Amino acid sequence: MADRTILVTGAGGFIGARMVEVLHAAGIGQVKAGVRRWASGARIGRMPVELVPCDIRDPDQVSQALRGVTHVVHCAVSATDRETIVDGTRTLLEAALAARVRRVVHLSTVAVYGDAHGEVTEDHPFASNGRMYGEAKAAGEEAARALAARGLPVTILRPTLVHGPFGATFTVSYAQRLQARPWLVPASAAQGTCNLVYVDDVVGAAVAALDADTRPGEAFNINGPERPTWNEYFHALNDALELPPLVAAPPSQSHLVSTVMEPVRSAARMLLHRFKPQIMAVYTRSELARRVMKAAEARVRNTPSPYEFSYLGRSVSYSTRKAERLLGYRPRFPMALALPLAAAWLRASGFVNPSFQQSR
Amino acid sequence: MSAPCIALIGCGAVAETLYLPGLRKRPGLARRLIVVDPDLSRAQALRAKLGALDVAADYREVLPRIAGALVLTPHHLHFPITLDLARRGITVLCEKPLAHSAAQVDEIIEASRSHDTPVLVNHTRRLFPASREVRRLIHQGAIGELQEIRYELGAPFDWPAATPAYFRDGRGVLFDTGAHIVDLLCWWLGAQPEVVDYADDSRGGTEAVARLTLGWRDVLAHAHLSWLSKLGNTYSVVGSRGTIEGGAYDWTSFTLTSGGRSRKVRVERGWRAYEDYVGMLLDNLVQVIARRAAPLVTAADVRAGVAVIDACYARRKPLAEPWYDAWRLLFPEERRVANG
Repeated sequence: MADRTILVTGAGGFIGARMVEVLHAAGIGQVKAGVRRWASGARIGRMPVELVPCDIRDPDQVSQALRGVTHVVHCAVSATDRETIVDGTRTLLEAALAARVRRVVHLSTVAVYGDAHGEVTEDHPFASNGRMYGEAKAAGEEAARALAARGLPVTILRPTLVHGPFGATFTVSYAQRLQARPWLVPASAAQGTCNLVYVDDVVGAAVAALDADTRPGEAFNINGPERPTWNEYFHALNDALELPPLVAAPPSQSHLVSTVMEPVRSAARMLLHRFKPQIMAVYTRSELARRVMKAAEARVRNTPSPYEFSYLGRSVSYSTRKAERLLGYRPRFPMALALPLAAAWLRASGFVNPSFQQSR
Repeated sequence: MSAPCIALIGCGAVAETLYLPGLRKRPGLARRLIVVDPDLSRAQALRAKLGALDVAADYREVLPRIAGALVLTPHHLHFPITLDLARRGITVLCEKPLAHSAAQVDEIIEASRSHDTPVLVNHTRRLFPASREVRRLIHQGAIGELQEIRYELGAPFDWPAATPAYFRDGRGVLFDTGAHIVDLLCWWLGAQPEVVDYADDSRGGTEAVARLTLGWRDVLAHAHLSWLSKLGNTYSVVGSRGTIEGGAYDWTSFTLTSGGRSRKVRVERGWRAYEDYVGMLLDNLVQVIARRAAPLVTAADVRAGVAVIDACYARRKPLAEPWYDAWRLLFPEERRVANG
């Protein structure tokens, strides 16, 4: 292990930061934590690891970051910028090939399958659901496979819905919603499969992939050990947070609010995009404006979108048999273990309103 | 006789974000600046934005030309540069934190005294009307005997830092934003409290979350600071006959509860940006150099806060974070090393 120097890209992000923490703490190798902006270094700065500038869109910076590196875990991503995902991945992997790194683990996503149904294995065709993220990640995988064909030992991991401490989408967001009653997700609308994987299991899979001598370009689904329904997940998280029992609004009310809120959501997004400085100026100066905006933001955030209702009802299961067979992958964090950890972090980080808990 | 030059030392995010707006509103002052940074391209860029007089790579090159200096460098350089300048008789406005220890502050105070050179420190929160009024009410006994203070301040770190210096010193959120809050607690208490308890999330590096409890006589003061998540960003001051509650970013008002009744206390009408308070310090620096005013906040004023922070680090213990330690479940025993 000591002869390894591992560059983690996107080291300031949710998965990247946890990758750095575990690689360092477990002594998997020397860690270089690559960040696009120094501002994202607060979490990984807690450990004595080397922070390096690594904007994957910048070939010079990437080459510099790869100096002395034997392995790469590529976690850098953007929620809004396709070029970062596709061209950035290509730039990084080209440089990794030139630097003769021994293994690259490229974090992709099951979103490359689009809105798939049923049992999904790695040979399931890619599909588009019209959303940038999945399409860009699919293009990023194509770039990885092209580099694999040229000799780069790259392994592709496709995690499902990653949750855990610092996870904005499936942990923080739902914890906030669970505290904002009425709960607008009726049980009947959340019977689809919740393919959750705890962030540490993704890290475990990446470490296994660093070790495994798999064929370049091989891809693996990475999922958790259970397949609960979304409704089961919401109730389990609610219990872990020790919140009052969940009582869902009637389905008709939920769907009506969701439909009505959609144009509000679009308008808010557009206004923020075009007039953010002006809006922030008003927000800072006026207490009334602050109150109104916070209330509006909470209402939008706590209302499921029509798209969300569609995936909450979808039955799909991403198989990890291939990862178990070839990587020795064993997910170790079922909900019973993972959710108390997430809840402890949520509480310590101020995401849980103590008075709401006391009313249980 | 023309007004003397002032060095602006350090062209990072502090200069760009906090000082540039105030200096632009003071073109007469901006024209007297010599902008100093080892990265001359940054110095040139800031000089152009300000219409400043000149640039230099090292402040020691411009010593004969200056009567004052703004020290806006990374934290670890505040003390040595401020001390050097004070010993040379140059008036300094230094960003917080002024120093790592009370002994260092004492060196600065001694240099300041023996060279008759004022040293000012940017502790903006002491200038907020709400902070000043809270202190007045505490000391006036408006809420009875002081019993407890709670302060929490946290937001994901998003400072447009030009270097990774924030994460290389081994002193993080407590030394940075904590410098303001600990100083405020000491100022409100009117004393240097003891450290009752201190824990942070450093894992051999620079802490991003800190929790501390300070004690002074029968009063306990608790602070929770975070660079990782947004906290409530509120404070409360509890006395035997009343309570004061306010927002960390509400600089002009708070709620006073006394005799079973709550009322909003608005100390100042109108609105000021954070940069406006920095502007007050800039004006103060100019006045102090001209010997027309006393410093608003001196090195001696902030000594207690620096000492408390240093004492916190001396008794540092890890925050319990079961979610961090969960990595141990991932690997068999033989793979573990001592890093965790």
